[in-house]
Amino acid sequence: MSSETGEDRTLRVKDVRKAWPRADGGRRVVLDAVSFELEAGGTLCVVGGSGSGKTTLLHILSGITAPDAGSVSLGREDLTAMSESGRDRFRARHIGYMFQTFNLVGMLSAVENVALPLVFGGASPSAAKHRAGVLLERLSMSDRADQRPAALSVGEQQRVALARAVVADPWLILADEPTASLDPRNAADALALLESEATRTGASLVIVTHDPAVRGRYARHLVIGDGS
Amino acid sequence: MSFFALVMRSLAARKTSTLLTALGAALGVALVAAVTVLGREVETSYRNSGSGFPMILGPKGSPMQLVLNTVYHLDKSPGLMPFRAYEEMRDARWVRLAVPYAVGDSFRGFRVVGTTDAIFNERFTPLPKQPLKLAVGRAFKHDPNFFAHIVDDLRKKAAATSRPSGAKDDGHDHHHHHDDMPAEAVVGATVAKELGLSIGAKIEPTHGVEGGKDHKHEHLWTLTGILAPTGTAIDRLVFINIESFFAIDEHQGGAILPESGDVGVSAVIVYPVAATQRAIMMPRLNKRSDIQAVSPSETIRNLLDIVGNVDKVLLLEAALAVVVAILGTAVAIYNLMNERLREIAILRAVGARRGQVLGLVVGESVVVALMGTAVGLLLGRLLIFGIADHVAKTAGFVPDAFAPVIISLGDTLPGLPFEVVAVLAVAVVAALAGLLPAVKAYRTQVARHLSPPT
Ligand SMILES: Nc1ncnc2c1ncn2[C@@H]1O[C@H](COP(=O)(O)OP(=O)(O)OP(=O)(O)O)[C@@H](O)[C@H]1O
Ligand SMILES: [Mg+2]
Repeated sequence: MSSETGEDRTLRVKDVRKAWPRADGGRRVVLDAVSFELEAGGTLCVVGGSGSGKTTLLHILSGITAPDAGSVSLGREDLTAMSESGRDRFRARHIGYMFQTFNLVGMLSAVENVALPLVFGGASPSAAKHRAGVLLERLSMSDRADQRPAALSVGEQQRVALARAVVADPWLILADEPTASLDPRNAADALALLESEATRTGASLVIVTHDPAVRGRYARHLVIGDGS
Repeated sequence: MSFFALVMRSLAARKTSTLLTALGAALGVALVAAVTVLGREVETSYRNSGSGFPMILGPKGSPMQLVLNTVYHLDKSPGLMPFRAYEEMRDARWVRLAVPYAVGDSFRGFRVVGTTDAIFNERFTPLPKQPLKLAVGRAFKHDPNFFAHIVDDLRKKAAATSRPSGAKDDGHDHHHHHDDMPAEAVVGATVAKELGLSIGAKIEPTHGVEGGKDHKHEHLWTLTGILAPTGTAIDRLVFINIESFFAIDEHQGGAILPESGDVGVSAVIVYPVAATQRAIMMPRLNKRSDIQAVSPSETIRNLLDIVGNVDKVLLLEAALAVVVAILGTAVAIYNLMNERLREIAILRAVGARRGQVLGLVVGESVVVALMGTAVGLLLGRLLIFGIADHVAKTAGFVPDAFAPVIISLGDTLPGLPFEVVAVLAVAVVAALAGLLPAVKAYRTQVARHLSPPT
């Protein structure tokens, strides 16, 4: 774990603003001067009502969307100062993203989905598949590894999405409503897995939710919008 | 899973579209391959004819017809030339070898040529530096003295019939010669194979090259030898000794030419001692009123200049068909792009760079086109293989469907096999065409397409 070697992996978000254009031609401010710091290995729970800008924030943290103002940096790397391809590369290497809707690639098997970040990161095909397989095994998914997402249960898809987010040993894991489509028991299991993977890899974790039960699990919260 | 596997997975997910567009490319490429290979084979065959048949003498008339009939055994014989001209060539010092051809008969659909044993001479080379070889048996017997005798008889007969009195003297003396005359045949490889002939078989030519209904001669020829395959029109010929040909009364070959009063022969293939002799003698021979001398390579060159243009137009059309097919592939990928924007956004979000997404889509276009190309190249060759028999019958040469075709890339670069050129060209065109959908993928706004459409 390189965080223990003293390398700075702190997530620093300063005065991030984002407004989206509205249909009537005006602009709707979604994120208004959001600031926080998350130390390496820490967990932050982002809460807020529907449409409050939670997903937008995760997109900005991962470099998918550029903020209108403010800065995002991970360790010594300033994402907001990077070019788009620089952000792409940084995301591939250091950020794992679990989408609100899993976003698994339908034409690929579970293990191939998990291997994707490694493949794009330049790993050899066999090494990528091997690592993906090992990870799925740890998540008790080895017998489902060759199935397409459509053949998997929601809980299984969820675990594949989790595996894909952590496979490249990211510094930061972003999880957007990881429990939204799960029943309470499965939700708890999923969060436990996510936490243990984050702990294992030493990654910081940002979890977005509007589920009070999830919210209650974590000590640190960031409330977005009116917090409803 | 490799990058390439990802391309293949993506294509497999759109199987129907992939197969259809690949098929389009395959058909276009097959056409290009067939036209190219056949064009090359035509050229090779015609180039070979230049060295195999340096000069042909025949009656005045169309040089093309003389060449087509003598070298390719197509078309009708342009007529007869005086036999005296053959004797002249045979005895001339500048001539190394003279081969007379007497044509006009056929045997079960294959043309019969009456000739001397000169065809077995090592200088008679229908293919460069390759004299005729017997696969089995021996050459037919040719008796020059006996032949001279028959020609003599025919000439005397001609002189007698042209006398005003028309007295029919000593006409009977000649026939006893004919009875003990050897009547032997050697056939080309295709003739033997198609008719299932073996040594000792009886050959019964009929008059007229179309064969069939014409009445049969009373005579039977004995098969003494079968030639090794040459890939030329010779494979489809029946050679018989010329004296036996002339001995039959109703033969054109034995016919008397009214103008010269001489016996007629269809053509004479002349091998000059040196190329310079040919250059000197050709114009001289052509000044004569009784014969013409043609150089097959020149005549064929003229023909190829015409055919060659047709060839180029065809090739251009075929190449256009390939380009259109590849563009079709790109458009098909483009049209499916809208459905794929989310997938591409996902790939980007999990670490694919813009360039990688671009490469992925370009890769799809190239792979589809190359799949089509692989099939098309094979298909084109098989097409030529399939029509080889037909070409042999109608064009007088056997195309080698699997002969390597080297494409010259200018004077300074080494030539490349046609297949390599085709693959490279298709890959480049497909990559360029693939940029159309690829740029759309490249420009995909990740954030906008990440969530399912609401
Ligand atoms: N690319 C975009 N262009 C324009 N408007 C956008 C875009 N992305 C998000 N928005 C708008 O920004 C607001 C915040 O959206 P966002 O997805 O961040 O909310 P959220 O908190 O994740 O909501 P939910 O809980 O429903 O997932 C919404 O009103 C949304 O319509
Ligand atoms: Mg959201």
